[in-house]
Amino acid sequence: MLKFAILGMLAQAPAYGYEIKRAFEAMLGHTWPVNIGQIYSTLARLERDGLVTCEEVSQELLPNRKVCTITEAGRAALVEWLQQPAAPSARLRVDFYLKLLLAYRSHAVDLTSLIWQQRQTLLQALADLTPLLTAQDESLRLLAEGLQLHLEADLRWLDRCEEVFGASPESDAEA
Amino acid sequence: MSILETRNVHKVYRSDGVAVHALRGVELALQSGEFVAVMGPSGCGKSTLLHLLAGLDSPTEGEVVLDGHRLNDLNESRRAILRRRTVGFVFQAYNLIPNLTVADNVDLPGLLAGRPPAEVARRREELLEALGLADKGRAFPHQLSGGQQQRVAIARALINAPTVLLADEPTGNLDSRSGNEVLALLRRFNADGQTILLVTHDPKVASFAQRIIFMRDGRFVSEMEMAGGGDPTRVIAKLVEVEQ
Repeated sequence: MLKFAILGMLAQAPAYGYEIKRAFEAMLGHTWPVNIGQIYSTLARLERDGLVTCEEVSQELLPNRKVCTITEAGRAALVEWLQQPAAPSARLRVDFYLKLLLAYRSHAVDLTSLIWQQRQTLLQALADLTPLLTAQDESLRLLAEGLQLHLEADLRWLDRCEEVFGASPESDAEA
Repeated sequence: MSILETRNVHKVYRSDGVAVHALRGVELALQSGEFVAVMGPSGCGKSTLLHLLAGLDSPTEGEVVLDGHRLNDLNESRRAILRRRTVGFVFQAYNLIPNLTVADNVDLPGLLAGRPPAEVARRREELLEALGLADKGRAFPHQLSGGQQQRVAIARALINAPTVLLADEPTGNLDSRSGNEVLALLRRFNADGQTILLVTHDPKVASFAQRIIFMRDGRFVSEMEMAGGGDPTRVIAKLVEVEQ
């Protein structure tokens, strides 16, 4: 992934490692921190594979910096990657589902409270997102909207889990 | 201090001899300055509750105390006066009057409450400004988008500086982006001290509140306080899966 992220940044303009890190992180509203060491090691691999060429540029009083340029082969690799659809990411909170099934079968804990705690966790995550849903930065806002929709889907599915496996605390207590 | 309270409120509707229990003993205490969402599936009684809170309908049993007044003790005309002074209402449908301008729609409840026109106009200007509609005063509702119309409805609901703003699925007719904008505005009014109670089936909407009360089958079954002030970028970093 990082490999193509770097190629994508270099397709806009030649840049050195730290510049790539800064521009990439800014593009995603600083939500996606990238390790500078990883950038350097990935650049070295890209250079070895002929996807970028790097050139030492000397600076006054500062160490030399390596400015990298994407090659034709690099551009072709980027285009191929961009054109591949991303795999569907239906993250059904597998860890939660496993807990639910095991709780149901083992009777080790109360299913109702398991579901309610999960609901509260998801709602808190939705609440944490709210400031970003009206962010000025369009790329950040769109990302937050995507996460919001995912969490909504998780919550709806939780409602289904509740219908099948458990009732709300109150009606449970009354039963 | 509690500005809106219900004590053991029940509501039973009867039709053709069949009793439908819409509310089964609701205990609510809304504090001044709160932003509360009552969340539940359709048919759980949340809209009925909102009508009782606004004094638009009476409980079968129990009582509603609005701004220190027991609604049961008031006759309809006194209740209407209290409602005008203390409650702002925002519905799913914007319910603007089509042949009045935005400014006139917003002013109407203020003038009906007998407040001086100049004061009403000043308050309207402030509200339209805060809602990003400063240049829309002369427009007619049909010239505005859904999100803009709902923001006009919010200005109208706030023109009398109500003790509490009640909202019933306020973003139900809006696309998610305009909905988020409307909710962010409600949150900003809340930050300035406006007490808000909204009812919704939608967790995306409820997540803008400080406190969520969960409703099922006519009663409150659980509630949660939202933790605020998290670093949103860290939240995203946690939620986004980066494929390395």
